[in-house]
Amino acid sequence: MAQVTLRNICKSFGDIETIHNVDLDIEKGDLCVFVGPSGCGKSTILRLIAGLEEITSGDLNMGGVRVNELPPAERSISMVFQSYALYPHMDVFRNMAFGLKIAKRPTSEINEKVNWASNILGLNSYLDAKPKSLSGGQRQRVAIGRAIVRNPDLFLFDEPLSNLDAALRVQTRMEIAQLHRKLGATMVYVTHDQVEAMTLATRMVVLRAGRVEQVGKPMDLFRRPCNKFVAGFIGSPKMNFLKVTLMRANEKEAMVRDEDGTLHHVSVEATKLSLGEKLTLGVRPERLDLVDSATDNTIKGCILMVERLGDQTLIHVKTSSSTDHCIARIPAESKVELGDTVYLKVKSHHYHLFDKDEQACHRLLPDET
Amino acid sequence: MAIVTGKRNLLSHLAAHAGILIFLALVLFPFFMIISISLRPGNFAVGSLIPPEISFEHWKLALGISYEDAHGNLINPPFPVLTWLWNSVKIATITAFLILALSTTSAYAFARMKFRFKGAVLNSILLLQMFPAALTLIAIFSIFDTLGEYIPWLGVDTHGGLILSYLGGIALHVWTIKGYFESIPVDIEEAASVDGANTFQTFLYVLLPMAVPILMVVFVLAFIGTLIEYPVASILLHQEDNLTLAVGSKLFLYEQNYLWGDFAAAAVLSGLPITAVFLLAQKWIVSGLTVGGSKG
Repeated sequence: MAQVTLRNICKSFGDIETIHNVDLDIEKGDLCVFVGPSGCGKSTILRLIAGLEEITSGDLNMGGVRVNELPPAERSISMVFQSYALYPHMDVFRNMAFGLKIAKRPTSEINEKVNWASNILGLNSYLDAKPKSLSGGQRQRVAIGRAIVRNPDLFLFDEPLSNLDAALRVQTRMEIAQLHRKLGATMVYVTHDQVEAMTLATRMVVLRAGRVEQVGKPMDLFRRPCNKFVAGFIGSPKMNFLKVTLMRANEKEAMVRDEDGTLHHVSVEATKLSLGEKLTLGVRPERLDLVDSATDNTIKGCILMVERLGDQTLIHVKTSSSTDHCIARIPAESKVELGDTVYLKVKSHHYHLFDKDEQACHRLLPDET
Repeated sequence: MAIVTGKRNLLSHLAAHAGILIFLALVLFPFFMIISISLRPGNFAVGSLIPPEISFEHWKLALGISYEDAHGNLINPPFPVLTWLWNSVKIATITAFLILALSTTSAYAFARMKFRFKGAVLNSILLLQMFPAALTLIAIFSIFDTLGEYIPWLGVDTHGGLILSYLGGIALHVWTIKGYFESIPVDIEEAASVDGANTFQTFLYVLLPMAVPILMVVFVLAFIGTLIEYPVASILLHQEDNLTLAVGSKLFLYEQNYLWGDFAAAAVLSGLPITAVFLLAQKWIVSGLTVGGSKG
């Protein structure tokens, strides 16, 4: 049975509804990541689960019990805040021990648990320090320590890494993933960073404007985004979109024409589409290969910008069909210059196709049949 | 981190120093004056700032010690000044603690809880407080006169009654503390409630320790305000032994005989508890107690 279930959850602030009918199951042991652009409601849903906001309508169940009306203290949760939210007047030890002290645990147990947590997090030499003398990464570790000593049923993380610098973010991300494995705990993690979401999640929930767009394993969402929003949100650099028209369709393939008149063969189940329909073709930057001449499945364009990253090169290409310019990730040794006209070839099964309502057609991937 | 300044600033430096010195003189002159009067023999308001002859007669009276004057007459202290001082300190301390307890709890409610008419109540307590206390004296007297019939220790001429009347004046303190509470990130209290603390525990263990500087400021203000309060104390307290120093000192200045010297000694005496409280509170009035808890 699922550890946490959200059924038809709505949240209104005044007259404005910001969370619309969210249904979600979080299984025991999941590291469930909520990801979406800012303002999509991911933090609000987390706060609803924590009990820091009242649920307007719907049912929130934990361990099979409805907890809508329970205060945060009675939900057996721990939360790590974006801003750390440490108690500034307490030293590290007392910060971590606070919850246990409130719960009136015996001193020996408190000492044991805090020492255990500070061992895991490498905070042993800082136990007497006040938060203000710690660095950002150390503060965040104290916040995590405060969460784990209480051994709750559910951990909530609200963008815990967004205040850390890039190197520390990667390191702390790894530590959280290890912690998840070590504790086998159920975690809900909110982030706007899709890389963080991809690397951490066992289940990923993509949100937009207070609605769940898609739920699934990170790689499933990456390979089979259910709509154009999810496709564009996951992956970096983001997926390129081209405006195309459907020329021919069957259950194995759709043939579409872009605005240059080039034909593209797309391996999707296209039976539901109607001929002449305006569609969106999607292709990820790493699936574009430089070729010498135009054939089917090529995109023609003029290079606007070359970004050499060392191990690879990103080229920004102006094409007639794409709404924005296309980005292609090509080998570093490719000889391309600003202003060159290039042809970029795509394999049929690397395309994504979205109908006029931006819903994805089912992709036929060769390695899955 | 001194900023490099041109030579032109020398003149403005001198001007600033001169200005500060003049201001200091303005502030300190009355203070030296009153010390001088208290040390001068006889009861004269005027005279040179540095007394030609120093006499402790006024101080002896203020401290309750009899002395012999030039003609060999034994002069007894006319008033129990030390009792008044004790009364003042006692009333001011109790009042300041009670004001602190009431205003922190109500400030917490106004800063953090949601209830109807919050804004209206906040504004109206402030507006009501603006009504001059002197104009309510007659009402205060009749209220405590009646109250005393039912609860004797809260009636007229009791310290309990006076303290109760002072507890009505907390609106400004509520506003002050509320402003400070609102500057403390809510996250920290949310963290405490996730950690299992109830509202009162959050208030006590998390919010209050972070608010110590403002609590000290309010305590000092309430203490001083009570210590120097005259109008209400003067109508609620009658018996000589019951008076506060502020009310009692006035007895030195009766129509036909202004005992300026004795008055001055009592006045300097009344400044001592204020100074003491200031010195004690000072080390708590520091900034930066909330630093490090959250990323700003």
